[in-house]
Amino acid sequence: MAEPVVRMEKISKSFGPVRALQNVDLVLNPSEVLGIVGDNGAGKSTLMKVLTGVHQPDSGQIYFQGRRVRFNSPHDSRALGIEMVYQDLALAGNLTVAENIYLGRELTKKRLGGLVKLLDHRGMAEGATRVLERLKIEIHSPHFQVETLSGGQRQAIAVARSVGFDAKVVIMDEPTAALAVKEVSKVLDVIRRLKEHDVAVILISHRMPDIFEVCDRIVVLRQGVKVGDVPRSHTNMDEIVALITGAQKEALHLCQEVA
Amino acid sequence: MSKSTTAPAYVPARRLSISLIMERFGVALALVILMVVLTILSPEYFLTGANLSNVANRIAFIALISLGEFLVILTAGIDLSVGSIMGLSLIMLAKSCHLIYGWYAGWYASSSMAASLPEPASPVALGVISMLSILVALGTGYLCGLINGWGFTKLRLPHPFIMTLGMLNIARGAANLISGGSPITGLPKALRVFGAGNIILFRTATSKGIRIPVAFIVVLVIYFVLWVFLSHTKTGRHIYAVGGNPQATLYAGVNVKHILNLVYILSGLLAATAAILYAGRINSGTPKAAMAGYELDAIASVIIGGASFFGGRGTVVGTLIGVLIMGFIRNGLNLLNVSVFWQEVAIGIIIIAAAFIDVLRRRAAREA
Repeated sequence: MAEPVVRMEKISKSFGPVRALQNVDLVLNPSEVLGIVGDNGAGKSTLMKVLTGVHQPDSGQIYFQGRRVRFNSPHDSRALGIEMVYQDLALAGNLTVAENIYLGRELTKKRLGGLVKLLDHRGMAEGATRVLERLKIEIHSPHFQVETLSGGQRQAIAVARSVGFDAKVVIMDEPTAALAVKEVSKVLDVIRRLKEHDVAVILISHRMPDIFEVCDRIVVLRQGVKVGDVPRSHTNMDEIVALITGAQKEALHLCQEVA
Repeated sequence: MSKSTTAPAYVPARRLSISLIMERFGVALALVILMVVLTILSPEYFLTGANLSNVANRIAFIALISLGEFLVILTAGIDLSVGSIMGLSLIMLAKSCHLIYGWYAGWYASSSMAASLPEPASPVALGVISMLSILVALGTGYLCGLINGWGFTKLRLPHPFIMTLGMLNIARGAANLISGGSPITGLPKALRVFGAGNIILFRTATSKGIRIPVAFIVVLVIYFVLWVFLSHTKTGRHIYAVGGNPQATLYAGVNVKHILNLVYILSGLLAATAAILYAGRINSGTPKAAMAGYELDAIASVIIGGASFFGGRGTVVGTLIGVLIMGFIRNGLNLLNVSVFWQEVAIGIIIIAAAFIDVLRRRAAREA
């Protein structure tokens, strides 16, 4: 078995009296799509905020590619290639596709004999086109303004933005929540494409069909505790829903890494 | 290499629609129509070199404070203090010019080594004095802009409206305090050349040639520099990004506070530059300039020029066209002997119409 990309061990985090996470273990393998499900307040977002360095755990360790790491800010986790795709916050609608993909890391060229550094619009358009083609995202031109695109296309570009620059782990929080049915499949396609390019994906979603369509493994959180960690092939929607609601206390087929 | 299903990169598909053309060139079209109408209504005067260079001269300082206002509105902010910062910089310019001249003249008269230095009234001395007072004016604008930015980013006042409203009053008061409430008149030629100078082209024995105000050239150069800055530099695109989605810009690792501080500083500096043009035109520094309400003209020009109050949308060229439309309407109605009061009504209606067009466009974009 290949070394996991991410291993989180016994992560606990409290906010005042609220115990958001209690001794949660999480393993993410290379090119794996991991679904994380749970009711509101189950700790999904908190766990991801710990992984991206937004929150620091009260106790527990994080290993990245076998190395113990400590993230003090999202900057630290991003430096290692852990990218979070925010639902509606990721893009500036008034900028073009290429400008969004390169936002914050624009390419520049020296002009006038090195006197001024101007943007390399052509280079960014070409780079953006390459990234989009790699993920088979259909956008006619990198010069389109993002706000003229559909929700699914925007979500795809948000993903392209994160993986365009060597992300190893992409975390997506409810990427399909606001999308029309037709659009959802586009985003799921992009997730599959990430897998093909050896990017591990963590997908947080309330939509069971999405989870079952793309995930290799499903982790269930309930009230800050991990109550399930099962391969998709060994479970079904009924069991997952029972785990989420607490009707069933523990998963039947635990993953070997956890067991 | 296998070709993917993605279409080639440079195909402008459905974007080349009538609405896009209207968005890009609508304001320019309005300007052209306005000029045609005014040419027909006032055939003897409107399209003459004298009238056009008169308009260019009159709108030059408005063009600069509007450009600063545009930068701020691009980040979804507002700067109510551009007019009064210009007024305060104007007073600082005239006052420092007179003070430095006074000091130098006094020292020159008493110093034994003065003989080897230029006389106070010589062109060289006046040139240096002008440069120094220009630096004082720019420093004033810079400082006011910096404080405006801090009010928003450091004091975290709820909206730039409040901070810049405060600055409007502070700058007005300071302009009156420093000048004692009356104009400081008489400025050296070297200082006036920017606001009052003309370059005359194609002069022959028979014709007087074409008079191009230096102020207009200054405006064009500054607009060009700002256009390059906004469209072709990282920081320029970040200004647009902040206006489009500040949160996304923050997540992309851009220092949003730095960008916000920068636009208010640039706005202050442009207001100070406007003061230099204004000073040349009227050959004095008058505190009245701080109280004339020019900030409202600036906001109006920016909105007429197609920028959105919601931020992130608008162009440097659009802003210049907005300034020209305002200038030509005032000038045209003057030529047609329409009362100043009706001019205000007309401009008010145009501002509302321009903002309404922005609303329509946003609605159309959402439904597309």
